[in-house]
Amino acid sequence: MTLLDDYAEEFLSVASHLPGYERNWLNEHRQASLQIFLENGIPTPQLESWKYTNLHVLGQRALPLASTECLHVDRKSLKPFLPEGLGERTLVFVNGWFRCDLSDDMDGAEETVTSLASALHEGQLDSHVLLGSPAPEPERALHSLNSAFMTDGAVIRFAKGKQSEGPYHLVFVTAPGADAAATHPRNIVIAERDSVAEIVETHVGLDEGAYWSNSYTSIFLESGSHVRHHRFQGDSLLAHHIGTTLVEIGTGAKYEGFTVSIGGKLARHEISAHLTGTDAGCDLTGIYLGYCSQHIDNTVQIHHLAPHGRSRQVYRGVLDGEARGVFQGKVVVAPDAQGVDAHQLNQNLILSSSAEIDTKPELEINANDVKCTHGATVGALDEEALFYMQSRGISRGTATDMLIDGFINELCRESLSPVLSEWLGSMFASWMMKRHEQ
Amino acid sequence: MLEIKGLHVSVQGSVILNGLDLTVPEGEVHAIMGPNGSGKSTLSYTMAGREGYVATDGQILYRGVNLLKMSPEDRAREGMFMAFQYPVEIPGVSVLYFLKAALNAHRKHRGEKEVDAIEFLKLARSNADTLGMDHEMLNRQVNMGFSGGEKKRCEILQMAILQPQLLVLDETDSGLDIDALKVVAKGVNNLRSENRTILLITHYQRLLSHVVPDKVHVLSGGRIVASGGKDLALTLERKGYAEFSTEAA
Ligand SMILES: Nc1ncnc2c1ncn2[C@@H]1O[C@H](COP(=O)(O)OP(=O)(O)OP(=O)(O)O)[C@@H](O)[C@H]1O
Ligand SMILES: [Mg+2]
Repeated sequence: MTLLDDYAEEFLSVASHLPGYERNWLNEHRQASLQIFLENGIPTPQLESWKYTNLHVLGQRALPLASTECLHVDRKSLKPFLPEGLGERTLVFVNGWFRCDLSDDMDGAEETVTSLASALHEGQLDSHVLLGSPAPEPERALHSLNSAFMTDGAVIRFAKGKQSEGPYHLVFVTAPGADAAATHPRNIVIAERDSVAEIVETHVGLDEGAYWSNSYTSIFLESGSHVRHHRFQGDSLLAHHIGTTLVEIGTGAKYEGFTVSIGGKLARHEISAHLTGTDAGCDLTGIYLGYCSQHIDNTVQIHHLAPHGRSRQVYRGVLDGEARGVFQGKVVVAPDAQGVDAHQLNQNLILSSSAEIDTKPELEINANDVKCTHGATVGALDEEALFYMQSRGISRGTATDMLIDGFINELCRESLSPVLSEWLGSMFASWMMKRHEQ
Repeated sequence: MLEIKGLHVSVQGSVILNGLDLTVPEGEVHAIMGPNGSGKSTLSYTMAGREGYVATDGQILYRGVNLLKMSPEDRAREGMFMAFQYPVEIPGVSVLYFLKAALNAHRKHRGEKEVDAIEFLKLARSNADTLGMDHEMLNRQVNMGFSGGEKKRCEILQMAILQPQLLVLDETDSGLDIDALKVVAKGVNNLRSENRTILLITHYQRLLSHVVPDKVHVLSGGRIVASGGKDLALTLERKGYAEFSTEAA
């Protein structure tokens, strides 16, 4: 039996347990998505956007859907992932399923908040509009797999003209049993006209398990809305993480994305943003830290489809050991999208001679009145700066940490609230410790 | 006491210091003057322990201990401080954080506990005041975008906070306006004391009229070719280095 047969069989065996099974259109949606996945299979490096990231491990055998039974997760074990002072709007998902008992009570919230499973079950998402129609491109085969198997996630609608009082924190915890398994979480966020919204999306593993997390988040910004989306990926160092963020930005709306990738044996976060209305803004900041033999891929696609859009990508990476980083930043400007202003910058700090980065800008500009810049740097720690610090009594190790910290925290201070900045600071600090232990 | 004996230093294979001898007793301030490229900064880098400055022969003894055998950070913790001719920019690290890390490294070395955050802020601010530095400066990234004069003041600020015992100031007076020169001179004079040893590297007499040296040495061709009292600086200013250069050759 081939891998694809296995996936087809797995689907047959779990389909009746997937949320919304009683709805025909949804079943058709799932099956059509599965069909597309089966036609394309796991993406291979022959595909341009997968050139630097090889998923052959995922192609070796089909991973069953992670079990819902996971009793040893309690709120206490989640503590490191729940920043203090963030407010009481945390939704916890374990192995891809909503856990009411671990989540805050959302009854009094201004926003409409439900779990995807109950939204599908109750028929609240009764069309393809929010789920998107199955995408035929082979590059997106894993989105199709997610659409076939999607279990749960958050569905949040920020009401027109309202300003959200604090961030929603969506925490995806994978705590697999003895066997490797996959999770396919799906989130849908709608920011209605002129609303102001903030979400934190966290992906972590409780054990050092060899799971696969294939997550998908769609965010729709109606005109004049403002969404701040912070995404932290700190999965197990044995795990595969493939995350996709799909963003649609309407007239005068602004999306600010902040993405941090620390975990995963192989991790990819892909942002695909479509600026569909005039004067839309998309501001992306990324930080990735890799050591040992981690492979961390950040792929960005920005589609300027309307005039006067602004986009900015600033990604910084630190790679140690035999880690490999990938940054692919693509900007497409449509023929009538005049007056677009697009900037891209990828900066890398390489700490060891065996660490590597592949950085690839790609500009496809079809309008004439456009300002686009891109730049990439790859460098080692500045020896002069290290010596300067040592000459003041600071040990070389501490000086190294201070320079790395300065490199990444500069971005946090610019874009994050003190609470989040401090929380990430502690994550970075523990990364630094682990790096030294290697 | 600082005793440099027969110091030979090569940089990238070329010999820059070439049998340098120098003794500075505790409590004294000595000035080193010399033409461009004569090896003054090479001496200060070698004293601070910069990689690539290879001492092929000789010793630098401070209080009887050979500095050449110590790491740069240990030299600093043992009381050595070199004010850089070209202070280095440190992106992403604030002056305050940098100073605190340095001070705590010194304290740890002495077996003291870390400095209290509030106390430290007071200390940094009052020293900034003395040096006429805006408090805002303390929150900026070390030397990033600082003017030449601001960088030099920042060196003195570090010195004032770390309270070193052995000081080497490499052209700290260069590029300063008249007021800044006085501030820097005051900073050095404040540290002048019986148990400190200070080496001033300079091209100009004007610093030495504010910080009057006990002795002046001429460094030329990689060694000390003449030594004298403070008047030697005046002579040099009038006549230049020509006669010493021939002597060296
Ligand atoms: N990294 C290096 N590689 C090669 N030569 C060097 C290096 N550093 C210094 N030198 C050489 O060593 C000599 C002494 O330089 P040094 O900087 O010590 O001079 P200096 O006396 O401080 O001069 P200045 O008055 O201009 O500051 C110069 O000829 C210089 O070019
Ligand atoms: Mg010099």
